[in-house]
Amino acid sequence: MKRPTVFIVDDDASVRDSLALLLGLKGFDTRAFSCAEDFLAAYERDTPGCLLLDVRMPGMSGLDLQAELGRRDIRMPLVIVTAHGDVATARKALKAGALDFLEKPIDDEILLDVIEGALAFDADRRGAEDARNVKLRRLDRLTPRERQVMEYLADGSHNRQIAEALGISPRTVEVYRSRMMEKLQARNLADVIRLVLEARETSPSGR
Amino acid sequence: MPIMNPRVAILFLLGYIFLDWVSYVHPVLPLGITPWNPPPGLSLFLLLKFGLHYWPLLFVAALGADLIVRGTPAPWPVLLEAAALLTVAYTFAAWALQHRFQLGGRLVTIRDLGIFLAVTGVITLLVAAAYVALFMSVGQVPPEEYFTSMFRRWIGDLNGILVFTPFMLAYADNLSLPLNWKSGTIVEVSLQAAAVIGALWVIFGLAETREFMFFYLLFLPLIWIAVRWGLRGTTLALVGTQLGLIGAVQLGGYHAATFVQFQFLMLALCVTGLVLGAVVAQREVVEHELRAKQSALNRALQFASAGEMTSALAHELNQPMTALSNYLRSCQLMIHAGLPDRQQLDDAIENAIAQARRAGEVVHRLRDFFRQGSTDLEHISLATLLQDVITSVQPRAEQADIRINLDTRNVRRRLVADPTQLSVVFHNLLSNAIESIVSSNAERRQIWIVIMERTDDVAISVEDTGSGIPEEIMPTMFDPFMTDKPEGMGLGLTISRGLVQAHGGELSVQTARDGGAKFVLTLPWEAATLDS
Repeated sequence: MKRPTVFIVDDDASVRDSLALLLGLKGFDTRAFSCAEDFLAAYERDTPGCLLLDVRMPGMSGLDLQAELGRRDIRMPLVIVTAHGDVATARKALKAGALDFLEKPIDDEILLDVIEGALAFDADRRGAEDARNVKLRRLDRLTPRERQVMEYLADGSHNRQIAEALGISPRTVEVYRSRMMEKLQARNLADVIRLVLEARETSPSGR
Repeated sequence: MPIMNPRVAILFLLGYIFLDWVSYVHPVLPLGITPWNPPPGLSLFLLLKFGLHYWPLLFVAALGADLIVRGTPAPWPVLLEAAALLTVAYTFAAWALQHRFQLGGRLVTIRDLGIFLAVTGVITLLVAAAYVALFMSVGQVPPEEYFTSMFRRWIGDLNGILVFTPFMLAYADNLSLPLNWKSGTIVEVSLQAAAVIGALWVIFGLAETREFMFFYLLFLPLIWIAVRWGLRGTTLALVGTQLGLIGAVQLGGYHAATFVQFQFLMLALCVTGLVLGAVVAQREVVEHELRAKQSALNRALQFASAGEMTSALAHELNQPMTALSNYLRSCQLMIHAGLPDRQQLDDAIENAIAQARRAGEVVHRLRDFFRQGSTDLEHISLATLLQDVITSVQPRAEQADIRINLDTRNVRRRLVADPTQLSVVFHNLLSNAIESIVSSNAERRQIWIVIMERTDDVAISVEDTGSGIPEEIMPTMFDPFMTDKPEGMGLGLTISRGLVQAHGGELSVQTARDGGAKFVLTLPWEAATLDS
């Protein structure tokens, strides 16, 4: 697994460089970019970390980049850096889902707190996502029939109704059902329903 | 590798062959040397405008023109070599102009034109020398005619380039003429065209005149056009004049003996027109820049009190401050870690110093910014100036339902001062007054500006019905970074007082009778010597 990285996007070379130096000395891995476009080009989705983003940049602004990350479904925690007293921008960024904001000149203690918080947040999120992915991947092991039985069950059908719908005996439905539960490592029907709902949320058409 | 645009390529090839065909008048065989030879001008334009990577087209065009217009005038290897020679030479010329001498895709200044004349002059000479030598080597030109032929070829190519390339460069991006079509302009342009035609008629039309005796007449309309319409007008006039000349020579017949004489006259006409046009164009550019700069500065200053400038300033200062504090904290971390990497520590300290300096420069720039205007002392009317400032804040005042009263009845004398700087001051004072009334939500919403003329100076007071200034901050009112506005920088009054003092005046504040703020500004009738 890749090490968490603090991505810095700021058009001012000295701000960028000094932030990278400071965070580097504090033991963080950093990568700095002079513009939003460069960051987008270089970013690899599987790198954990957080993004320290200057709002005021020529070309794509910080808020533009934030919107673009949303479009690309990149959910890395975002810390916006604004000019002192620019409440309006900070508010906009937070409403659009930024984790936090920092005012320039940046207080380094607050900076470190915020960065640590952001990295922890990202790690949690990735952990939860991984756990969910493990569960969802179990769905792939089901045969088409087992899957059908699962869908009917999740929608509230009884064994007999399923047997009628699929044109098989209730006994066979029972066999499919127990095999399906085993593959999904589900202890009861509630587990199955939860998993189906999660899967449907991830891809609305069902997997 | 940049790609050729096929439309550009086709237009170029057609244009090249057409120009070669149309200018193929009175060729001196066997080389087909004509009085002016515009195709090289088109080649040069192509490379300067669209990029050097179009060079292969030059070869194709040169060869094609030889085959189509001249009908294979020489053995194949010679034609190939000649085309290669032209390609290499003009590609080199374009490269030299663009990369060696940093000539953009336009001819604007005298420097541009000088370089253009020099480079094309030399290259066309080399081309002519090599070209004629090539044909001499296969026996197409007798050795005794080498220099004559070379000379003709040289001036012919140079004429073509000087007439054609500046013209194409001037109109490639913008086809509009450098005129505004008022009726006076139309009359003038018509007269200029008539003058050119008239001159041509005198030169060629009068039976009793010897060839080209009155050629100098052409200079008169050309100078007129150059002075009036600059380089763009001149290039157009040159093309027209050249076409007229060619046409006249075509119709009127021509004597081989006067060939070179004719070429030289054309060259002189070209160079004169271009240089004069460039002088005029350059003067216009400078004037334009000056005006643009002045109005930009004025605009910036006019709104100096508004949020824009302070926010820009905050940004400018925040960057180095952020970097500075990061570098210093980094230094501290390195030292605390024990056994710091000396090089890294040294670099960080060096960077910190640079950032401190950068912050200092911002402050200097700000000061220079305000000092710049201070040389502009003028006789000004206070009433007019105040009226202008009031107009600029009027929308805000009206929105806040505030009435600004200016009494100018007793104002007689004019003041020697810097109008821009005084505008900044009054703009500031009025903005403050408006904001104060708005934020105190006062019932009476008035601002009075009163001018009092005295023997030595003039006093202007700006009084508002806002909440006034608390007694305790009165003494520090004018100190930098003192502000009671959340988004303010606390520089407006500091700058204002500085500007007034630079005029030898004074800016003070008191509490008005009904509790608002009253700023009083005194200015000597003639501003003190500012630079001292």
